[in-house]
Amino acid sequence: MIDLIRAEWIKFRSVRSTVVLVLSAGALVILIAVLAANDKSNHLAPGQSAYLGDITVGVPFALFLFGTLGVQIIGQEYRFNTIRPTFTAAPWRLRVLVAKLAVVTSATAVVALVMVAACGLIGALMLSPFTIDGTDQRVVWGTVLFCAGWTMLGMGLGAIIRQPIAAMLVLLVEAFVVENIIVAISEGAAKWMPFVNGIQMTVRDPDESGMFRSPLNGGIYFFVIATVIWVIGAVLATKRDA
Amino acid sequence: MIEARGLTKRYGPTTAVDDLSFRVESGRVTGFLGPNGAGKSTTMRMCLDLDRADAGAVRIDGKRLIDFPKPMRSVGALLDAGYLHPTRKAKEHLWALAASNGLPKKRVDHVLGLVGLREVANKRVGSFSLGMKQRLGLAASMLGDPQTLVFDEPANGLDPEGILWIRNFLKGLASEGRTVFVSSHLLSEMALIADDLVVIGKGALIFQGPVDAFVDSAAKKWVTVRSPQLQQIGDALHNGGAQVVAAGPGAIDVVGPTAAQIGELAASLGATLHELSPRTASLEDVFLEVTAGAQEYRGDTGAVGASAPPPPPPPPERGPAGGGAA
Repeated sequence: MIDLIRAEWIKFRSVRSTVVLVLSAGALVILIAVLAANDKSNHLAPGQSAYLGDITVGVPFALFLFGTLGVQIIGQEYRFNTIRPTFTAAPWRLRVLVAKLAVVTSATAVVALVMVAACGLIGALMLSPFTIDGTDQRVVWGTVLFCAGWTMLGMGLGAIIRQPIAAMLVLLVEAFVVENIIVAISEGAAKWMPFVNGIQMTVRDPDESGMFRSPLNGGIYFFVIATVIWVIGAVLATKRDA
Repeated sequence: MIEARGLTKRYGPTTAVDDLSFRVESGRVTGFLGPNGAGKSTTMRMCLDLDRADAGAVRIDGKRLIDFPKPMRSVGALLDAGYLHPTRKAKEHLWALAASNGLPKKRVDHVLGLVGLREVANKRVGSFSLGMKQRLGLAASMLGDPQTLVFDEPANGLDPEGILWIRNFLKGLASEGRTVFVSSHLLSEMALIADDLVVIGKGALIFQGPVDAFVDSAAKKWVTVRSPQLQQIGDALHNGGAQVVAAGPGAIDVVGPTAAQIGELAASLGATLHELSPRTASLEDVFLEVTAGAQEYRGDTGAVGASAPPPPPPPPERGPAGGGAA
């Protein structure tokens, strides 16, 4: 398994678009954090403290890119047919897919952690007073987990659809368009939307109207859906012709 | 050794490979021939467990590919030179494959030198010519120094020097006792490289055995005769039961009697001979003959600019499968 993870890591870091995506996601969140901190500093009432969760508002944009990354990690293998040399060299397909998942989610988690830490640094430098409280700690770990989970979901869709562009469209349109439309039409369906419930983990002031799940329940529900999608993708990749 | 038994692959109502069984022996180059759409590439993918067979199985040295702890140390393959990520460097492509089987980095340098790509190891493969990609694919197949090699059209895109190189390369691998299974549409190349043949048409086995047996199976042997007294000789041969076919101005092809018999006949007639050449059908001739009924895709010989090939001597009344057919 270590050999397969090493192989997937070499593949991951040796493709330009993958590295660009990861770095862009981190940079985007940090840039938005700078803008948010600047805005917050202009509107901070005397005696009021700013929090880390106030400036990590760029996370949904990073998710856009992390989802794309998840699709790319498997979709490009099919697009360029490199999946064939991959599975010839290592015919244990499920193990290869697990190695891919380990590499891409680890990379995403590390970048997410670094970008949130950078947000904390930006807050400390630009905002006063600036506080990181218990809720912010939940935001930090929720963001890291959600980014990794979103990448896993993207990889699962990539394995199911095998066309990177189509899989990206499905992933992003579902999250950013379809779920919002469904919620607007039927509030009762809101609890069953994976993205809008999962993202509750990453926000400082989650929805309290009862329309969405709590951050913990929303996170669990999101990971169940992401895992199911990934498993379906893995089973299909194992059974289908490469 | 590669052994396929009862391989079958269906795509909807189409049977691409139909109960195909064959053996590829060690220490020999085995050519895999068939017309376009015969199922060669599908079969090769099934040999490597990339395409799932609907029935049948392939064993390499008695094992499934998945049973080898480090598959690249036992089986190397080049199915298509284009199976590369264009923005990845050549060296990194090989590193990733080597790492998946726990092979050391020095093997990457070794195989890059083997195929003459060491100088472009740090270049992105998107800038490679087809021939360079082909060499990179060959390098990948040799990473684990495997006993069994599977190549699909390995000479594609290679220049004449490259084709000569691959010819010697494949022969060299077989002479080391390795199993070499190679498909090619370059029949003249195959005639020079292969010791054995597996010939398929419409997914089914047509022939398996040594190249010589395949060529002999068609028994297309004839004698070309040129003479100022061609009519006289031709009539005598025809009356003697030989098959005589015009072979251009001043020449006939004769099926039946040997060159010696024709020479003696000419002498008895007092005729002068300018040519008396015993001929044997080429691998290409035999291949075209035995696969004539098994071609999925054929050109329109009546198309503008196309001319029908000269008729070969009449085939004997024998089945296409040789003595080695499974």
